[in-house]
Amino acid sequence: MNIKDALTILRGRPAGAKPFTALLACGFTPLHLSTLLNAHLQLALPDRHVAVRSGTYGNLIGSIRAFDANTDHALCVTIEYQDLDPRLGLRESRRWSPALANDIVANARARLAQLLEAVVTAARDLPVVVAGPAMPIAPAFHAPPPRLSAARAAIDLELASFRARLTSEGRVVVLDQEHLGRGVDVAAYDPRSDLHTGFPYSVPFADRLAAALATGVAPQSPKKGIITDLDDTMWAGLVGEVGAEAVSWELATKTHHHALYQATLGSLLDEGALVAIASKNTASVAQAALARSDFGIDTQKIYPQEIHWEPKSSSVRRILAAWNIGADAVVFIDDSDYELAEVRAAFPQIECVKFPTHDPAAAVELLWRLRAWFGKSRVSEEDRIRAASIRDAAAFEQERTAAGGSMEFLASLGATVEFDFDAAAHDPRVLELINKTNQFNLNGTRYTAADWQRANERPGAIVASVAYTDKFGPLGKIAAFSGRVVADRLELDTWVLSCRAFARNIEHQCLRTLFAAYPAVEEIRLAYAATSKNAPLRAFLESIGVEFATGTVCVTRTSFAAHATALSHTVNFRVTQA
Amino acid sequence: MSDTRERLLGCFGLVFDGMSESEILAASPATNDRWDSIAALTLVNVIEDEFQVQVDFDRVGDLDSFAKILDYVNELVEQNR
Repeated sequence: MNIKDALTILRGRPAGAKPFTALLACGFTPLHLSTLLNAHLQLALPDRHVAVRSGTYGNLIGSIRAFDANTDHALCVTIEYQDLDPRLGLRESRRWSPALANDIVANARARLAQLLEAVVTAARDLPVVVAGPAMPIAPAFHAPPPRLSAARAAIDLELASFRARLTSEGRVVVLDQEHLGRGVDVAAYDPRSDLHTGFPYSVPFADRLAAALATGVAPQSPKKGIITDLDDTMWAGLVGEVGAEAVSWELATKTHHHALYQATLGSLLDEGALVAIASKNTASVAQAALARSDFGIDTQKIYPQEIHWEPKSSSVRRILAAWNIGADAVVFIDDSDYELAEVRAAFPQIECVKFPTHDPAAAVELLWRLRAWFGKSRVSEEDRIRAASIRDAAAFEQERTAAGGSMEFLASLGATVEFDFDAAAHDPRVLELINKTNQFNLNGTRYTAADWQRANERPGAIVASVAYTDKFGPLGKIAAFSGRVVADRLELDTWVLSCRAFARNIEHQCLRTLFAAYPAVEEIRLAYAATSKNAPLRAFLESIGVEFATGTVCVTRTSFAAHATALSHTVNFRVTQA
Repeated sequence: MSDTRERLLGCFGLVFDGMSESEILAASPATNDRWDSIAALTLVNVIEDEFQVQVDFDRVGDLDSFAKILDYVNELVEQNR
């Protein structure tokens, strides 16, 4: 994106939309970074009217402290060496001397301590993204390059410690400067612009930085599942031709990039991604290779495994049904152009990626793309159990179907539903669930962290998470709702239930527990809005007699009692707000 | 020549969103609050992208009207030929 593109995007901002303001704190003239950040944020938040405001030139810490928790929605901080000591930048430097080196290091240490305090304080009230330094350090120290000077090493050590402290803060996103510079032939620093205008970055780098800052403020939902081929993808060679022992993924045969692919898939599995196999092979032959002791993934976690000679689009269809997720949340990886085209034709929304069997450099690049698609800022308990719970769900569904969905079957599950009204407002899993659930979602509203915090600070606000476990195993926190109590009415703004938890009457239990937890509430008013995907929620509401014709969608205590279904869950709930 | 004028009007329109052609032709930093140093540098960048030229920062202070900027852009475009 160049400045012209950015200005064109900003001209198209939706008039009258809910405002979203980001504070850009930097010690230099924000100039094009401000414009580009504004445009990238506008693209990330198309329903908002995004504005970027900046602080005072030359006063990074003061600019950070100037955040306004009532009007700002995010804080973006870009740190340069000159913010640690003016003598480390080119614009403000007047004198360098070996005698000043210790003073510069001490100054940098003190400024970083102040920066840490300012950023951590701001992060209590709004999301914070921190970047930098991107500019080169000034030639202030005596060591001949590329030899590292002791002063420079000491400053970098302080910076590393500063970054480590910030990454341990849940709400601070720290950008990896090395990654920002990867794969682009762009100099970050523009000395001409810095010395003439006070803006230090080249426009292409400012664009890359702005995009990264915007992603930190408004991250896109990660993809959920990977469907992978086996031959010449998971390993090198055709297992049906050479046998299980001869397919390879090691340095000696120059096929180690397949081992790295296995390691990445294994890691993503442990972080909550779903991994399935779609391979044209004889199942027993492929299974022999998957069972090798040096295979990099616990194959029990790969589910489903579609290994046969049917078209891959059929395999993909069954995998999507087992996972119960949309095609747009899935990446399909195969070395065959034919297979990629066949799957792409059947599922245009799937991201179809060719595995670069004979190009290790491209394979390593693919690993980074997978991290970008599936990476997450934290790994929750739900992430750790997701693969197992999907597999258990298949067993659940088999038994349920065999039992005809009877009440006796549900009663036999020994299910426990746990409602937590105490900690949910600050539980990142709740916001994650609300922002990624589609099918059972009251209105599809996505929240930024700042909006979510403000909604939960309103008088009478309630938030709850719902966790579920039964004889098939725990599903973790699979539902959440939020709203506020106004006199004898509960206004429910959000309500989501993970598709993994359907068919267990948890939605009924949610309403029953709400009426039980708030005995003064006579009516639950639902902020329902139809989306392209939330028909399951509407179907449930219709099943309990909710009318949609009147404009106000609500469930009264009386009507819910009239439509109540028998529930066999054991219910635990923690509530102090009622 | 008129093509350069039209393209330059487009650059002004992007930087000074909502300004009419007659307002652009009459504008200067002295008469328009929006034409501050940041807008001037943004305009320089948009012009550099649009015309694939490099503006001399020393000249930016003198470029205080549409007519002066048009003359300067024509000069740069000629030099690039």
